[in-house]
Amino acid sequence: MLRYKTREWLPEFTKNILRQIFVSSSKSATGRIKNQPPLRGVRVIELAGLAPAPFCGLILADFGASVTRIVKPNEDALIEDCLTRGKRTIEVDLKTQQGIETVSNLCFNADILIDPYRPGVLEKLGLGSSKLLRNNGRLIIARITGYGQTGPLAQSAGHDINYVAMSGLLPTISQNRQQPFPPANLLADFAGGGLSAAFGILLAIFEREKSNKGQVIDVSMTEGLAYLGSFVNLTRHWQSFWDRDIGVFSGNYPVYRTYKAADGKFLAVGALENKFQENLFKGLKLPITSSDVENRPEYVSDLLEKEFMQKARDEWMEIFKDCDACVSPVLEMDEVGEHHHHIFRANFTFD
Amino acid sequence: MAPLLPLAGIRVIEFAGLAPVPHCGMILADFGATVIKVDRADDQGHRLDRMSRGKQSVAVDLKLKEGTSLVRRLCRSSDVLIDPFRPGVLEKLGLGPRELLADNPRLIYARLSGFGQTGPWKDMAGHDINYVALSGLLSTFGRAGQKPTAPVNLAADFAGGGLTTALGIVMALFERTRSGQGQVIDTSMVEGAAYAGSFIHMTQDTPLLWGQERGNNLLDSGAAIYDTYETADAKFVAVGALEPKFHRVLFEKLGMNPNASIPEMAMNPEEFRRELTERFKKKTRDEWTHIFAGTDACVTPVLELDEVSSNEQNKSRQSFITLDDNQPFSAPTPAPRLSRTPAHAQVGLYPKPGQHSTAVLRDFGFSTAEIEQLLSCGAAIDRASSKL
Repeated sequence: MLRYKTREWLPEFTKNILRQIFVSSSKSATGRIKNQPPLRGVRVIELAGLAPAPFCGLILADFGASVTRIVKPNEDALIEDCLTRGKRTIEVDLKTQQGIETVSNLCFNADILIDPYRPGVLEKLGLGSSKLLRNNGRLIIARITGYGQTGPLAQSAGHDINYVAMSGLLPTISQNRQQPFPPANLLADFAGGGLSAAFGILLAIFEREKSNKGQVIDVSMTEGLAYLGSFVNLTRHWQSFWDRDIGVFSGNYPVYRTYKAADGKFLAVGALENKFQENLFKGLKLPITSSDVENRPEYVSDLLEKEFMQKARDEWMEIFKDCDACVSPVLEMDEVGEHHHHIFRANFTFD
Repeated sequence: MAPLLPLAGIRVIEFAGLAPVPHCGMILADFGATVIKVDRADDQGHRLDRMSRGKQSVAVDLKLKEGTSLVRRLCRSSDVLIDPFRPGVLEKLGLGPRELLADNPRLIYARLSGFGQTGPWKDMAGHDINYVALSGLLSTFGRAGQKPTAPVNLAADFAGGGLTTALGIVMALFERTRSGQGQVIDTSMVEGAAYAGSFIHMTQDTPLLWGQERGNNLLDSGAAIYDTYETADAKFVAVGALEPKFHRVLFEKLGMNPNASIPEMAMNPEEFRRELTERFKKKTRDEWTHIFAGTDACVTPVLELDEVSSNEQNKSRQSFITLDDNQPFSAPTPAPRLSRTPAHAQVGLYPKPGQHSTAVLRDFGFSTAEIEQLLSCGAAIDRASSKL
């Protein structure tokens, strides 16, 4: 038995990170439809899952695709899926033959299928990729997992922290020698997972215009993240950047780190170049120079720590706002909507 | 016949710039695009650009009118331009979107900057840490009692910048197959990072996930079952056993009560953490890896970059490309993996600045006389034969 649950939701293009500025007003000679969202008419079937799959579906929906999200009946998830805007949700019981046929039929007419399950689950359900592609040779199937479709860990459970650990990047990015930790679940789940999957899907759908064929995309969150960190991997012997004690990205480099202000809020300083450092020290009214940064970095850090504690964060931002010192406020999550740059760009809206 | 790469035949002009732009160009090159890097005339190539694999390099003096016209002509028969400069810089050189899209309405003009092309901060200098700070996300990264820590330059430069721009470019290429037109893409790394962190933004009101001070929440090192632990050999394992069915396996393998529940753990958080800490210190990382392999305990070794390619999972999938060089080297394989038209990373092929100037100009239809003229006035520099 199917139950349709549609949700009327107008896509919020203010959350769209790509501004489409159409330069020419000249009419297309063929009168083709212009200025439509890039993925208009693209049909996506998203099998409901955690984090990376819904985020991938969200990106496609935000850019105009019609996304149908398939949930299991009476599913009691630990947390509600918040990445559902712009999608239509239907309940399908995959334990029944009817349910399987429903999904199979949907895939027959779809462009993209997002599979969040462990390798082999779809096959066991009779929805394996070879079968689906035989029925619909243009289908693009994105299979999103932590470790990939193959290998000794393919059937193992894991979460973001595990995939970041396997990518080799965790000790470098954590800046914490005592106990490394990733930045929430941003890197593997979303950057190396959902965003990478969306990118692969777009490549495949663009390629399909020439070949008229679909394919399977094996999205390993571990590999997606490792690839994202290519620069870190390929330059890992550059001591000036990666030395854990005093490299630029060590967290201890005095002009590339965060500082606490008098009100307990933080500022981010990213003054890598000499000219920005000059402006920084001028704004702080400290008699130090770039050569102090080179020669006695710990001393400079101490000095800056003490000085930043003298004023509140926003007082500092008043001082630095019109000079190029690469100083910015570390905004709290509940403040982003009110920051003037974000208001101008209409970056954040409230649900 | 081998299938073509997804971006075969797509020509990209990439202005040399910092991290995010070369990364975007590298992704496009890995997936088949012809990427032409416009290097600065004075770049001698002393520092090898490790993101330039598979690209061609043209060295141009943009201070000369002949130099900017050269680039304008390249854009006329290209598909994509990647602009790394602050808003207005290319306009001043006569290479703004108005001119280039008038020349070539099919051009996809991708502008990658920290704060975006508009807004009160558009002309401000900044780096990854500044952009992540403005996205709101930096305030959520870091252990309790420690300062907020950005994950080197992954969040804004690469996720919010390079990968987001590559995604936007391929979207625009796809859209162009229907409309026949190009467009301008405005990537702000602040927005790109924030968008990648949509889940973190949108779950702020979910008590199970957020609501405590930084470092005291479920996913930010506040929970004992989602953290890293030191092993006997001063290395680390990562434990991600969020669900009861997973932490049951974890506790069993550690010799603890397998039926401990989240409420019980919440009652004695310090106790739990101490137990896990002590137990993990009893064996080496690789012993633990062996014990937990093939189980659902969500425990993995925390690998260093120098060892990723020898781990059995990574090795089995060849997640890292190794070369038979005299030095240990590994490059992450392009992701994701397309089954029929996979990427091809030309690892080890890094152009010197200006190495292909003559060849590229010829490819783009410049006559021999024109090329000679450009080289002699210094608008283009050819270093194909120079020894660096």
